[in-house]
Amino acid sequence: MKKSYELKDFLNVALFVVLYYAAFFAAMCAGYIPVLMTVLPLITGIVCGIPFMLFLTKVKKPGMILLMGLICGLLSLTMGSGIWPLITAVAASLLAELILWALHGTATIHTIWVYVVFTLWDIGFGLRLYLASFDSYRERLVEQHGETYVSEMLSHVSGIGFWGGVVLTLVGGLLGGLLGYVVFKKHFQKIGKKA
Amino acid sequence: MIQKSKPGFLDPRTKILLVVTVSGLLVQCGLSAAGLIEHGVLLCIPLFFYAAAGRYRKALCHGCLYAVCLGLLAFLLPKLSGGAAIFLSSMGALFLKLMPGIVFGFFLICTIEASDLIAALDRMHFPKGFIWTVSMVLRFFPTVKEELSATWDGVRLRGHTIGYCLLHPVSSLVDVFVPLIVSVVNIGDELLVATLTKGFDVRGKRTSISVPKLKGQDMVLIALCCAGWGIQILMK
Repeated sequence: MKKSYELKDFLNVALFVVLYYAAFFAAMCAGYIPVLMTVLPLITGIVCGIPFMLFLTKVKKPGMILLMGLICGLLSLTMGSGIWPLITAVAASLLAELILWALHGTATIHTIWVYVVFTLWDIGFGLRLYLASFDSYRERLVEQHGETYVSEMLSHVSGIGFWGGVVLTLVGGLLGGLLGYVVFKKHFQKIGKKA
Repeated sequence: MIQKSKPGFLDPRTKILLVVTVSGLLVQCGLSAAGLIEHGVLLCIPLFFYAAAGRYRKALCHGCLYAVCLGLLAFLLPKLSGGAAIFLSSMGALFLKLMPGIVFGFFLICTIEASDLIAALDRMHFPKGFIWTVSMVLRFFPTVKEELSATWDGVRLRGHTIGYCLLHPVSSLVDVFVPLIVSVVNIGDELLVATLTKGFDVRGKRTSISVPKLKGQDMVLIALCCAGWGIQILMK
Protein backbone atom coordinates (compact mmCIF):
# COMPACT_ATOMS: atom_id res chain seq x y z
CA MET A 1 0.00 0.00 0.00
CA LYS A 2 1.21 3.54 -0.77
CA LYS A 3 1.54 5.81 2.25
CA SER A 4 0.93 9.43 1.21
CA TYR A 5 -2.69 10.47 0.95
CA GLU A 6 -4.04 12.24 -2.08
CA LEU A 7 -7.22 14.18 -2.64
CA LYS A 8 -8.52 11.27 -4.70
CA ASP A 9 -8.46 8.98 -1.65
CA PHE A 10 -10.62 11.34 0.37
CA LEU A 11 -12.97 11.80 -2.57
CA ASN A 12 -13.37 8.04 -2.86
CA VAL A 13 -14.12 7.78 0.86
CA ALA A 14 -16.71 10.59 0.61
CA LEU A 15 -18.36 9.08 -2.45
CA PHE A 16 -18.71 5.62 -0.96
CA VAL A 17 -19.72 6.93 2.47
CA VAL A 18 -22.69 8.60 0.80
CA LEU A 19 -23.62 5.49 -1.21
CA TYR A 20 -23.11 3.19 1.77
CA TYR A 21 -24.95 5.39 4.23
CA ALA A 22 -27.89 6.03 1.88
CA ALA A 23 -28.32 2.25 1.47
CA PHE A 24 -27.79 1.68 5.19
CA PHE A 25 -30.31 4.31 6.17
CA ALA A 26 -32.95 3.02 3.73
CA ALA A 27 -32.48 -0.48 5.17
CA MET A 28 -32.61 0.79 8.76
CA CYS A 29 -35.98 2.44 8.09
CA ALA A 30 -37.39 -1.10 7.89
CA GLY A 31 -36.73 -1.26 11.64
CA TYR A 32 -39.79 0.88 12.27
CA ILE A 33 -41.84 -2.22 11.42
CA PRO A 34 -41.50 -4.32 14.60
CA VAL A 35 -41.60 -7.70 12.79
CA LEU A 36 -38.57 -6.72 10.70
CA MET A 37 -36.62 -5.62 13.79
CA THR A 38 -35.33 -9.17 14.27
CA VAL A 39 -33.84 -9.44 10.79
CA LEU A 40 -32.66 -5.83 10.56
CA PRO A 41 -28.92 -6.69 10.85
CA LEU A 42 -29.38 -9.22 8.08
CA ILE A 43 -31.13 -6.71 5.79
CA THR A 44 -28.58 -3.92 6.34
CA GLY A 45 -25.69 -6.36 5.84
CA ILE A 46 -27.04 -7.56 2.50
CA VAL A 47 -28.12 -4.14 1.19
CA CYS A 48 -24.82 -2.40 1.96
CA GLY A 49 -22.61 -5.16 0.57
CA ILE A 50 -22.43 -3.83 -2.98
CA PRO A 51 -21.16 -0.28 -2.24
CA PHE A 52 -18.73 -1.48 0.43
CA MET A 53 -17.15 -4.23 -1.69
CA LEU A 54 -16.63 -1.74 -4.51
CA PHE A 55 -15.17 0.72 -2.01
CA LEU A 56 -12.62 -1.92 -0.99
CA THR A 57 -11.31 -2.03 -4.55
CA LYS A 58 -10.54 1.69 -4.24
CA VAL A 59 -8.79 1.43 -0.87
CA LYS A 60 -5.13 1.94 -1.61
CA LYS A 61 -3.92 3.33 1.70
CA PRO A 62 -4.37 2.46 5.37
CA GLY A 63 -6.90 4.51 7.30
CA MET A 64 -9.54 4.87 4.60
CA ILE A 65 -11.91 2.31 6.15
CA LEU A 66 -11.37 3.95 9.54
CA LEU A 67 -12.29 7.33 8.06
CA MET A 68 -15.39 5.77 6.50
CA GLY A 69 -16.40 4.20 9.81
CA LEU A 70 -15.78 7.45 11.66
CA ILE A 71 -17.97 9.46 9.29
CA CYS A 72 -20.73 6.82 9.32
CA GLY A 73 -20.67 6.94 13.13
CA LEU A 74 -20.77 10.74 13.13
CA LEU A 75 -23.70 10.75 10.69
CA SER A 76 -25.57 8.36 13.00
CA LEU A 77 -24.75 10.58 15.95
CA THR A 78 -26.18 13.63 14.17
CA MET A 79 -29.37 11.70 13.45
CA GLY A 80 -29.93 11.03 17.13
CA SER A 81 -28.71 7.43 17.40
CA GLY A 82 -26.45 8.19 20.36
CA ILE A 83 -22.74 7.65 20.96
CA TRP A 84 -22.63 3.83 20.76
CA PRO A 85 -22.83 3.54 16.96
CA LEU A 86 -19.85 5.92 16.74
CA ILE A 87 -17.81 3.82 19.19
CA THR A 88 -18.66 0.51 17.50
CA ALA A 89 -18.06 2.05 14.04
CA VAL A 90 -14.53 3.13 15.02
CA ALA A 91 -13.78 -0.23 16.68
CA ALA A 92 -15.18 -2.31 13.80
CA SER A 93 -13.44 -0.24 11.13
CA LEU A 94 -10.12 -0.54 13.00
CA LEU A 95 -10.52 -4.33 13.03
CA ALA A 96 -11.48 -4.27 9.35
CA GLU A 97 -8.34 -2.21 8.62
CA LEU A 98 -6.21 -4.84 10.38
CA ILE A 99 -7.77 -7.65 8.35
CA LEU A 100 -7.27 -5.74 5.10
CA TRP A 101 -3.66 -5.08 6.11
CA ALA A 102 -3.20 -8.81 6.79
CA LEU A 103 -4.64 -9.53 3.33
CA HIS A 104 -2.17 -6.99 1.81
CA GLY A 105 -5.09 -4.97 0.41
CA THR A 106 -5.72 -7.31 -2.49
CA ALA A 107 -9.19 -7.46 -4.03
CA THR A 108 -9.76 -11.19 -3.61
CA ILE A 109 -12.72 -13.10 -2.28
CA HIS A 110 -11.08 -12.99 1.16
CA THR A 111 -11.88 -9.26 1.39
CA ILE A 112 -15.42 -10.37 2.17
CA TRP A 113 -14.16 -10.86 5.75
CA VAL A 114 -13.24 -7.18 5.89
CA TYR A 115 -16.87 -6.35 5.18
CA VAL A 116 -18.13 -8.99 7.63
CA VAL A 117 -16.10 -7.38 10.41
CA PHE A 118 -17.07 -3.85 9.35
CA THR A 119 -20.80 -4.70 9.57
CA LEU A 120 -20.29 -5.34 13.28
CA TRP A 121 -20.72 -1.59 13.81
CA ASP A 122 -24.48 -2.20 13.39
CA ILE A 123 -24.62 -3.69 16.87
CA GLY A 124 -24.01 -0.21 18.28
CA PHE A 125 -27.63 0.65 17.46
CA GLY A 126 -29.02 -2.15 19.65
CA LEU A 127 -26.31 -2.02 22.29
CA ARG A 128 -28.24 0.44 24.50
CA LEU A 129 -30.77 -2.29 25.05
CA TYR A 130 -28.19 -4.51 26.71
CA LEU A 131 -25.90 -1.96 28.35
CA ALA A 132 -28.31 0.46 29.99
CA SER A 133 -30.59 -0.63 32.76
CA PHE A 134 -33.26 -2.44 30.75
CA ASP A 135 -36.22 -1.06 32.69
CA SER A 136 -35.17 2.57 32.42
CA TYR A 137 -34.47 2.17 28.70
CA ARG A 138 -37.83 0.45 28.20
CA GLU A 139 -39.55 3.29 30.04
CA ARG A 140 -37.97 5.81 27.70
CA LEU A 141 -38.99 3.80 24.65
CA VAL A 142 -42.58 3.55 25.92
CA GLU A 143 -42.60 7.32 26.41
CA GLN A 144 -41.39 7.83 22.83
CA HIS A 145 -43.44 5.22 20.96
CA GLY A 146 -46.26 3.95 23.16
CA GLU A 147 -46.71 0.71 25.12
CA THR A 148 -48.17 -1.50 22.35
CA TYR A 149 -45.43 -0.70 19.85
CA VAL A 150 -42.60 -1.18 22.36
CA SER A 151 -43.99 -4.49 23.70
CA GLU A 152 -44.31 -5.83 20.17
CA MET A 153 -40.84 -4.61 19.17
CA LEU A 154 -39.10 -5.92 22.31
CA SER A 155 -40.81 -9.29 22.00
CA HIS A 156 -39.10 -9.66 18.61
CA VAL A 157 -35.74 -8.27 19.71
CA SER A 158 -35.50 -10.19 22.99
CA GLY A 159 -36.36 -13.38 21.09
CA ILE A 160 -32.92 -13.46 19.47
CA GLY A 161 -30.91 -11.72 22.22
CA PHE A 162 -27.58 -9.92 21.92
CA TRP A 163 -25.50 -12.83 20.59
CA GLY A 164 -28.26 -13.79 18.17
CA GLY A 165 -28.07 -10.22 16.84
CA VAL A 166 -24.30 -10.49 16.47
CA VAL A 167 -24.63 -13.78 14.57
CA LEU A 168 -27.31 -12.28 12.30
CA THR A 169 -25.06 -9.26 11.65
CA LEU A 170 -22.19 -11.56 10.69
CA VAL A 171 -24.43 -13.67 8.43
CA GLY A 172 -25.80 -10.48 6.82
CA GLY A 173 -22.23 -9.25 6.31
CA LEU A 174 -21.22 -12.55 4.74
CA LEU A 175 -24.21 -12.61 2.37
CA GLY A 176 -23.81 -8.91 1.51
CA GLY A 177 -20.07 -9.38 0.96
CA LEU A 178 -20.69 -12.33 -1.36
CA LEU A 179 -23.33 -10.36 -3.26
CA GLY A 180 -21.00 -7.37 -3.52
CA TYR A 181 -18.14 -9.58 -4.71
CA VAL A 182 -20.30 -11.28 -7.37
CA VAL A 183 -21.66 -7.92 -8.58
CA PHE A 184 -18.14 -6.49 -8.61
CA LYS A 185 -16.84 -9.39 -10.69
CA LYS A 186 -19.76 -9.15 -13.11
CA HIS A 187 -20.15 -5.39 -13.54
CA PHE A 188 -17.47 -3.33 -11.84
CA GLN A 189 -14.13 -4.97 -12.41
CA LYS A 190 -13.23 -2.40 -15.08
CA ILE A 191 -14.06 0.51 -12.79
CA GLY A 192 -12.14 -1.07 -9.91
CA LYS A 193 -9.07 -1.56 -12.03
CA LYS A 194 -9.29 1.91 -13.48
CA ALA A 195 -9.10 3.49 -10.01
CA MET B 1 -9.11 43.10 -6.70
CA ILE B 2 -10.36 39.99 -4.91
CA GLN B 3 -13.76 40.53 -3.36
CA LYS B 4 -14.95 38.72 -0.29
CA SER B 5 -17.82 36.33 -0.98
CA LYS B 6 -21.21 37.43 0.26
CA PRO B 7 -21.62 35.76 3.66
CA GLY B 8 -24.71 33.62 4.26
CA PHE B 9 -27.26 34.54 6.89
CA LEU B 10 -25.99 31.71 9.07
CA ASP B 11 -22.54 30.22 9.54
CA PRO B 12 -22.21 26.59 8.27
CA ARG B 13 -21.33 25.44 11.81
CA THR B 14 -24.56 26.92 13.15
CA LYS B 15 -26.53 25.19 10.41
CA ILE B 16 -24.96 21.83 11.25
CA LEU B 17 -25.60 22.34 14.98
CA LEU B 18 -29.21 23.28 14.21
CA VAL B 19 -29.74 20.11 12.15
CA VAL B 20 -28.13 17.96 14.87
CA THR B 21 -30.32 19.60 17.52
CA VAL B 22 -33.61 19.31 15.64
CA SER B 23 -33.06 15.71 14.50
CA GLY B 24 -31.45 14.60 17.78
CA LEU B 25 -34.13 16.10 20.02
CA LEU B 26 -37.02 14.97 17.81
CA VAL B 27 -35.91 11.35 18.11
CA GLN B 28 -36.02 11.62 21.90
CA CYS B 29 -39.37 13.39 22.20
CA GLY B 30 -42.05 11.49 24.08
CA LEU B 31 -45.76 11.04 23.35
CA SER B 32 -46.96 12.66 26.58
CA ALA B 33 -48.60 16.10 26.47
CA ALA B 34 -45.23 17.78 27.17
CA GLY B 35 -43.55 15.60 24.54
CA LEU B 36 -46.14 16.52 21.90
CA ILE B 37 -45.64 20.22 22.66
CA GLU B 38 -41.89 19.65 22.35
CA HIS B 39 -42.54 17.97 18.98
CA GLY B 40 -44.59 20.98 17.89
CA VAL B 41 -41.92 23.52 18.89
CA LEU B 42 -39.13 21.58 17.18
CA LEU B 43 -41.17 21.03 14.02
CA CYS B 44 -41.84 24.77 13.77
CA ILE B 45 -38.08 25.41 13.28
CA PRO B 46 -37.86 23.72 9.84
CA LEU B 47 -41.17 25.31 8.81
CA PHE B 48 -39.81 28.73 9.73
CA PHE B 49 -36.69 28.16 7.62
CA TYR B 50 -38.70 26.92 4.62
CA ALA B 51 -40.95 29.98 4.79
CA ALA B 52 -37.97 32.33 5.26
CA ALA B 53 -36.41 30.89 2.11
CA GLY B 54 -39.63 31.59 0.19
CA ARG B 55 -40.63 27.91 0.02
CA TYR B 56 -44.18 28.60 1.23
CA ARG B 57 -45.73 25.56 -0.44
CA LYS B 58 -43.19 23.24 1.13
CA ALA B 59 -43.75 24.89 4.52
CA LEU B 60 -47.53 24.52 4.17
CA CYS B 61 -47.40 20.87 3.03
CA HIS B 62 -45.00 19.86 5.79
CA GLY B 63 -46.92 21.91 8.37
CA CYS B 64 -50.18 20.12 7.45
CA LEU B 65 -48.48 16.69 7.51
CA TYR B 66 -46.93 17.32 10.94
CA ALA B 67 -50.21 18.68 12.32
CA VAL B 68 -52.17 15.64 11.10
CA CYS B 69 -49.57 13.22 12.50
CA LEU B 70 -49.46 15.03 15.85
CA GLY B 71 -53.27 15.04 16.00
CA LEU B 72 -53.43 11.30 15.26
CA LEU B 73 -50.81 10.50 17.88
CA ALA B 74 -52.43 12.74 20.49
CA PHE B 75 -56.09 11.74 20.04
CA LEU B 76 -56.32 8.48 18.11
CA LEU B 77 -53.35 6.44 19.37
CA PRO B 78 -54.55 6.21 23.03
CA LYS B 79 -57.84 4.71 21.79
CA LEU B 80 -56.25 2.07 19.54
CA SER B 81 -54.75 -1.30 20.36
CA GLY B 82 -53.10 -4.20 18.56
CA GLY B 83 -51.97 -3.92 14.94
CA ALA B 84 -53.59 -0.52 14.35
CA ALA B 85 -51.68 1.02 17.29
CA ILE B 86 -48.40 -0.51 16.09
CA PHE B 87 -48.99 0.79 12.55
CA LEU B 88 -49.83 4.29 13.77
CA SER B 89 -46.82 4.35 16.11
CA SER B 90 -44.53 3.25 13.26
CA MET B 91 -45.90 5.89 10.90
CA GLY B 92 -45.78 8.53 13.63
CA ALA B 93 -42.15 7.71 14.35
CA LEU B 94 -41.29 7.82 10.66
CA PHE B 95 -43.12 11.07 9.82
CA LEU B 96 -42.54 12.98 13.06
CA LYS B 97 -39.19 11.79 14.37
CA LEU B 98 -37.14 10.75 11.38
CA MET B 99 -38.40 12.50 8.26
CA PRO B 100 -38.50 16.14 9.49
CA GLY B 101 -34.87 16.00 10.63
CA ILE B 102 -33.70 14.50 7.34
CA VAL B 103 -35.67 16.88 5.12
CA PHE B 104 -34.54 19.87 7.20
CA GLY B 105 -30.93 18.63 7.21
CA PHE B 106 -31.04 18.15 3.48
CA PHE B 107 -32.54 21.60 2.97
CA LEU B 108 -29.97 23.38 5.15
CA ILE B 109 -26.99 21.38 3.87
CA CYS B 110 -27.92 22.27 0.27
CA THR B 111 -27.57 25.94 1.25
CA ILE B 112 -24.03 25.51 2.61
CA GLU B 113 -21.31 26.57 0.18
CA ALA B 114 -18.43 24.06 0.17
CA SER B 115 -15.88 26.89 0.40
CA ASP B 116 -17.64 28.35 3.47
CA LEU B 117 -17.70 24.97 5.19
CA ILE B 118 -14.04 24.26 4.44
CA ALA B 119 -13.03 27.70 5.72
CA ALA B 120 -15.15 27.27 8.87
CA LEU B 121 -13.81 23.79 9.68
CA ASP B 122 -10.26 24.87 8.86
CA ARG B 123 -10.61 27.62 11.40
CA MET B 124 -11.57 24.99 13.97
CA HIS B 125 -8.25 23.22 13.18
CA PHE B 126 -9.70 19.92 12.00
CA PRO B 127 -7.29 17.75 9.96
CA LYS B 128 -7.37 18.57 6.24
CA GLY B 129 -8.32 15.02 5.19
CA PHE B 130 -11.31 15.07 7.52
CA ILE B 131 -12.41 18.51 6.28
CA TRP B 132 -12.18 17.48 2.63
CA THR B 133 -14.07 14.24 3.25
CA VAL B 134 -16.86 15.87 5.27
CA SER B 135 -17.31 18.70 2.74
CA MET B 136 -17.43 16.20 -0.13
CA VAL B 137 -19.88 13.96 1.75
CA LEU B 138 -22.21 16.94 2.15
CA ARG B 139 -21.68 17.83 -1.50
CA PHE B 140 -22.50 14.29 -2.64
CA PHE B 141 -25.78 13.71 -0.79
CA PRO B 142 -27.83 15.94 -3.16
CA THR B 143 -25.99 14.43 -6.16
CA VAL B 144 -26.80 10.88 -5.09
CA LYS B 145 -30.42 11.88 -4.51
CA GLU B 146 -30.67 13.24 -8.08
CA GLU B 147 -28.93 10.22 -9.56
CA LEU B 148 -31.07 7.83 -7.53
CA SER B 149 -34.19 9.54 -8.83
CA ALA B 150 -32.94 9.17 -12.44
CA THR B 151 -31.94 5.54 -11.82
CA TRP B 152 -35.31 4.80 -10.29
CA ASP B 153 -37.01 6.24 -13.40
CA GLY B 154 -34.91 3.90 -15.53
CA VAL B 155 -35.76 0.91 -13.34
CA ARG B 156 -39.46 1.73 -13.60
CA LEU B 157 -39.17 2.04 -17.38
CA ARG B 158 -37.97 -1.56 -17.37
CA GLY B 159 -41.26 -2.49 -15.74
CA HIS B 160 -39.95 -2.95 -12.22
CA THR B 161 -42.74 -1.80 -9.94
CA ILE B 162 -42.54 -1.67 -6.14
CA GLY B 163 -44.28 -5.06 -6.06
CA TYR B 164 -41.60 -6.53 -8.34
CA CYS B 165 -38.86 -5.05 -6.14
CA LEU B 166 -40.40 -6.63 -3.02
CA LEU B 167 -40.70 -10.02 -4.74
CA HIS B 168 -37.19 -9.89 -6.27
CA PRO B 169 -35.16 -7.86 -3.75
CA VAL B 170 -31.67 -9.00 -4.77
CA SER B 171 -32.12 -8.46 -8.52
CA SER B 172 -33.78 -5.07 -7.83
CA LEU B 173 -30.88 -4.13 -5.57
CA VAL B 174 -28.42 -4.91 -8.35
CA ASP B 175 -30.57 -3.09 -10.94
CA VAL B 176 -30.55 0.06 -8.80
CA PHE B 177 -26.99 -0.07 -7.47
CA VAL B 178 -25.07 -0.86 -10.67
CA PRO B 179 -26.16 2.20 -12.73
CA LEU B 180 -26.18 4.39 -9.62
CA ILE B 181 -22.61 3.53 -8.67
CA VAL B 182 -21.35 3.87 -12.26
CA SER B 183 -22.91 7.32 -12.63
CA VAL B 184 -21.78 8.53 -9.18
CA VAL B 185 -18.22 7.27 -9.75
CA ASN B 186 -18.16 9.21 -13.05
CA ILE B 187 -19.39 12.36 -11.30
CA GLY B 188 -16.72 11.77 -8.65
CA ASP B 189 -14.03 11.67 -11.34
CA GLU B 190 -15.28 14.98 -12.78
CA LEU B 191 -15.35 16.52 -9.32
CA LEU B 192 -11.81 15.30 -8.69
CA VAL B 193 -10.58 17.06 -11.82
CA ALA B 194 -12.42 20.23 -10.77
CA THR B 195 -10.92 20.19 -7.27
CA LEU B 196 -7.43 19.47 -8.61
CA THR B 197 -7.83 22.41 -10.99
CA LYS B 198 -8.68 24.60 -8.04
CA GLY B 199 -5.40 23.52 -6.44
CA PHE B 200 -6.83 21.69 -3.46
CA ASP B 201 -3.94 19.23 -3.35
CA VAL B 202 -1.32 21.96 -3.03
CA ARG B 203 0.52 21.69 0.31
CA GLY B 204 0.67 24.63 2.66
CA LYS B 205 -1.86 27.04 4.05
CA ARG B 206 -4.71 27.96 1.74
CA THR B 207 -6.38 31.31 1.65
CA SER B 208 -10.10 31.68 1.15
CA ILE B 209 -12.42 34.47 0.11
CA SER B 210 -14.90 33.17 2.67
CA VAL B 211 -14.35 34.64 6.09
CA PRO B 212 -16.05 32.43 8.68
CA LYS B 213 -17.38 34.50 11.52
CA LEU B 214 -20.10 33.82 14.06
CA LYS B 215 -22.58 36.69 13.95
CA GLY B 216 -25.29 37.73 16.41
CA GLN B 217 -27.94 35.43 14.91
CA ASP B 218 -25.48 32.52 15.06
CA MET B 219 -24.82 33.18 18.74
CA VAL B 220 -28.55 33.29 19.52
CA LEU B 221 -29.21 30.00 17.70
CA ILE B 222 -26.19 28.30 19.28
CA ALA B 223 -27.41 29.39 22.71
CA LEU B 224 -30.92 28.05 21.93
CA CYS B 225 -29.49 24.72 20.73
CA CYS B 226 -27.36 24.41 23.88
CA ALA B 227 -30.41 25.26 26.00
CA GLY B 228 -32.44 22.58 24.17
CA TRP B 229 -29.80 19.92 24.81
CA GLY B 230 -29.36 21.10 28.40
CA ILE B 231 -33.11 20.78 29.11
CA GLN B 232 -33.15 17.34 27.46
CA ILE B 233 -30.25 16.12 29.61
CA LEU B 234 -31.74 17.56 32.81
CA MET B 235 -35.14 15.98 32.09
CA LYS B 236 -33.49 12.54 31.87
